[in-house]
Amino acid sequence: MDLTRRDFLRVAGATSVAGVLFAGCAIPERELIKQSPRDLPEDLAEGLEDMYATSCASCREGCGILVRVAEGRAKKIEGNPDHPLNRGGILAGCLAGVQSLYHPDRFSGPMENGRSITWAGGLARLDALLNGADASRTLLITRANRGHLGAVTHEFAQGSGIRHLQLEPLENAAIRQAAKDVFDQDRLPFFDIANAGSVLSIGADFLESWLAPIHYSKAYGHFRRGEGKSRGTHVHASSRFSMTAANADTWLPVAPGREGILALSIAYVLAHEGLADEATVNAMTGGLGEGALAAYRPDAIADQLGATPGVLTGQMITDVAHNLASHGPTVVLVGSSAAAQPNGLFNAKAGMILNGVLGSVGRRGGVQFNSDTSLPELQGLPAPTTYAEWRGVRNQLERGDIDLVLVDDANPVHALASLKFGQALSRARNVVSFSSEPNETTAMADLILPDQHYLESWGTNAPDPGPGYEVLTVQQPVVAPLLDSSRHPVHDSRAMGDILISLMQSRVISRRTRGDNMEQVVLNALADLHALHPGRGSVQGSTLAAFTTGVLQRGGWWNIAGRGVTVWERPAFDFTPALADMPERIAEHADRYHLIPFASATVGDGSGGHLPWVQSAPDPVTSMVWHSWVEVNSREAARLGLRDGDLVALESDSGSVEVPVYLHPGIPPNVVAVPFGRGRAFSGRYGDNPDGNVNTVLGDIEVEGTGSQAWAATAVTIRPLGRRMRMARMEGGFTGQQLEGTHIIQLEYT
Amino acid sequence: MTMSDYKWGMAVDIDACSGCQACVIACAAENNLPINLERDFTERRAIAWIRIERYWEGEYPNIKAHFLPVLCQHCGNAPCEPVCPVYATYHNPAGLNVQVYNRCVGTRYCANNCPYHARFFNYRRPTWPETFHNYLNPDVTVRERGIMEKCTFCIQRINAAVRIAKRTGTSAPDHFMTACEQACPTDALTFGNLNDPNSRVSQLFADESRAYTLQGAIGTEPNVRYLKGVATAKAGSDEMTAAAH
Repeated sequence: MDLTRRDFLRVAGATSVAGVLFAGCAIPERELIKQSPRDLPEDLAEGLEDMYATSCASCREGCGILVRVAEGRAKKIEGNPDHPLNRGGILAGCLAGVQSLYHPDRFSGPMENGRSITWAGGLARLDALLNGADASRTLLITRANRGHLGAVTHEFAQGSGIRHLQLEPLENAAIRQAAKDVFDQDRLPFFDIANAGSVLSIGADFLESWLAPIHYSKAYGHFRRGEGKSRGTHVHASSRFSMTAANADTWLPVAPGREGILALSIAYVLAHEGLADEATVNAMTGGLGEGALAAYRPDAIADQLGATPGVLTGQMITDVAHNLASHGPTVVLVGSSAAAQPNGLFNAKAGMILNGVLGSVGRRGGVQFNSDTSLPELQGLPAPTTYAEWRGVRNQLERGDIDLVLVDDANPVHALASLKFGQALSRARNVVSFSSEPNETTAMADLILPDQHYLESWGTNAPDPGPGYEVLTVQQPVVAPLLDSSRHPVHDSRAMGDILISLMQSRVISRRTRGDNMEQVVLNALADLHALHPGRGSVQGSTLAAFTTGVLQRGGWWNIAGRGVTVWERPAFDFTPALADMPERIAEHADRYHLIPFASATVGDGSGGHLPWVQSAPDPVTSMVWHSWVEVNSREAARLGLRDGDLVALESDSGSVEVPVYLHPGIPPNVVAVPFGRGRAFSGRYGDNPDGNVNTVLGDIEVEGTGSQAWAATAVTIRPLGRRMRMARMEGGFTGQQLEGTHIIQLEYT
Repeated sequence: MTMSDYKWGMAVDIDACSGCQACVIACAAENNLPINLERDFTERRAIAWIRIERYWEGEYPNIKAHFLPVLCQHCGNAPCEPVCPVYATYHNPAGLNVQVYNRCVGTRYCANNCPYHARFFNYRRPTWPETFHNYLNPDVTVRERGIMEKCTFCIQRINAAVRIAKRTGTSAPDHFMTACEQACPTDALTFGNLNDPNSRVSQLFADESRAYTLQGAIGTEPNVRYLKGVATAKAGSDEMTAAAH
């Protein structure tokens, strides 16, 4: 008998009526328990599974992860609760590591001009290209890497005379320079949020994208609700209402480029009222004290600091200063859009100096300096390439000065769209890509030698910033490469580190790393650690074998007892140019807007844009998924006649980007915001709209004194395109559930 | 201890939730949720056993946003249960509101009756590219088209932990966390045994100054309780009524 679904429903309906009639004759609950779904997977205990500790490489933070492996397959990634950076915490992008491992668009093997070739043929071709090209006309582009792959890559480039460029899409050059200028530190400092009484974040979206968001989120949980401590208070000052701003107790809407002046205004209040660290104030003012800061008196300048006139008052700044002083220890974080202004270095330095004024440097709950790694091969690795340097490289490419470009795990064509890097790259005679999945840069490569996934290969990461002491996160293969039914690799890949090592061996290039492949390099590094730190650190094996096993089981090695003493030689600070150099504030209701791009907690810089979990994870504030958008103040949009989902072109002197409008009640009316990382044109079947890459509209503007890009300093106009699109998002997908007298969000007042 | 010795519950601290979405993806990874494509969102058919709702309060410059993780509340008096014509949803001895996939015939009455929009219907057959099958969780059923699904409190982890606890003479909560709780970087979610008065979740449930239930006034008796957010004095009113934007 053919039973259709509709017939079945009818039968089921009749049966349920019968069930009601005979309800008194049975015990339904008992019957239900007996017929519970005991043959479903949830109720069975089958097979063995293992958890392997390794390092996440989906971003550069260097967190520890545990990978659940069953039947030789990586099933799930979880945070390593033992790891000092993330302590079990994890973000959406890290979880999607299994999707990048098993991605259907991952390259099946080496390819030349779109045709599959053998590894022997591919490596011979690479050797021929390297031999045929002048080293001075060759580039090696990778992403910033502070571990042993970074060391091997650096050795290869140095020994071959090839220029090594490290792409850092969300540049931190201004923060690094400020740490150098203010604290004389080559490594980024540790911000002890967990033990702080209050946090002032200036621009820095530390819960979503700034430096080490998982580490900071974990610390933030303790900061808010830690055992044995009172709830910390958080003030966020920024030009865009971000997820971090949403979490803050107080949000100060500050005009783009005026964040550093706000910091100095707070410093003035502290100095004026005797709440400041006297030694710092005297050192930085050359002994003049608060008088040197008089120009920053809140009453005098508050009106100039708000994103729009009148939104910040002198009293508000004074209240914030009092709050920070009375809820110490206080830590001040500065970065993201505040450090991506032409005066971003000043803003970053002012924020860091405010830590000193608050007496927080070297203090628990304040700023502590990170020690360098003890492994010599990881010391002195070059900093990521700055925007100014990339511009020079672009010019070289355009002039035809570059013949060969090698690229691994970086997508400069998408990230450097503001430099029109893709057009320039097309001038290179040959492009070799080691990337394992398609992206805008591999689309231009004539030779593809796919790298192994980080869950299949060896490596390390010496996190920068670290947690205040030395950490080496160790990456080990947790699964063997996938084989098809005829025992051939589904993704026939090789570790780029292994390829570079064999190239160095054939060219007799001297190295500091030791080993014939990345596995040996990592194991030899662990042997060095064991010898350098006998009986110290998180793993203390009496033998090398015990030490190595222990490190691999725990996912790395760290030395909490090795926390250094923070010694700060307070520098003098020149305050005079700051007010004169204050960037222009675009007037409200003018036809131009400050464009503040941002990295969402989900998509980030877009390197995971080919992963469906990353694309479908709602942006926390807007709940948008799968495509780009522009946040426009709701009232300003009404004034312009723009509705939700209207397509507009944001236009600057450098280019334009086409995005739908999201009506945002919290963004200043003279600011618009577009996420980074969208507009992935060549990211396989799970890409998004190719027109949404905000990099294409960014102006060619530098952060003075650093060479990094002032990516939050572009002015744009909005041109309606007369078309609309249906916005993909979670918001509005569910009807409101609030009933009269029942409050969904309940708050207690302090 | 057997399953009936436990009563599972979760406390959600909305003061600690940063809105980061880690729980959403961790849940999708653990429980073999279908991939939500763009059209699933535009057609309002996306499946998310836990979601973060964002509520606006005020507007620029006096703006605040609140994040609220919403999942199945595992109601003690669940509106979804009596309306199911085939008993596909029922209450188990440990207080879980359980969905029996192989009984469900897809009437969607339960979803209509759920005041939390915590139930999701598979309008399409969930499909993954062949290579993605490798990461699917072997402990969790893949639901077919026409089946209702929702948060199970990671029942596969509960069952495994109860088995271990039985074998070792320990307590099941010592051996597991739900996937969302485990992923949460700010520790906003706390899961545990409400029958144990010393468990952290019991203590949080008992915090009269902060714990409340979502729409508790309608008598659903949820096993999920929320801990109030905190407003600074500046907000200026005793209690706010937030509305979805």
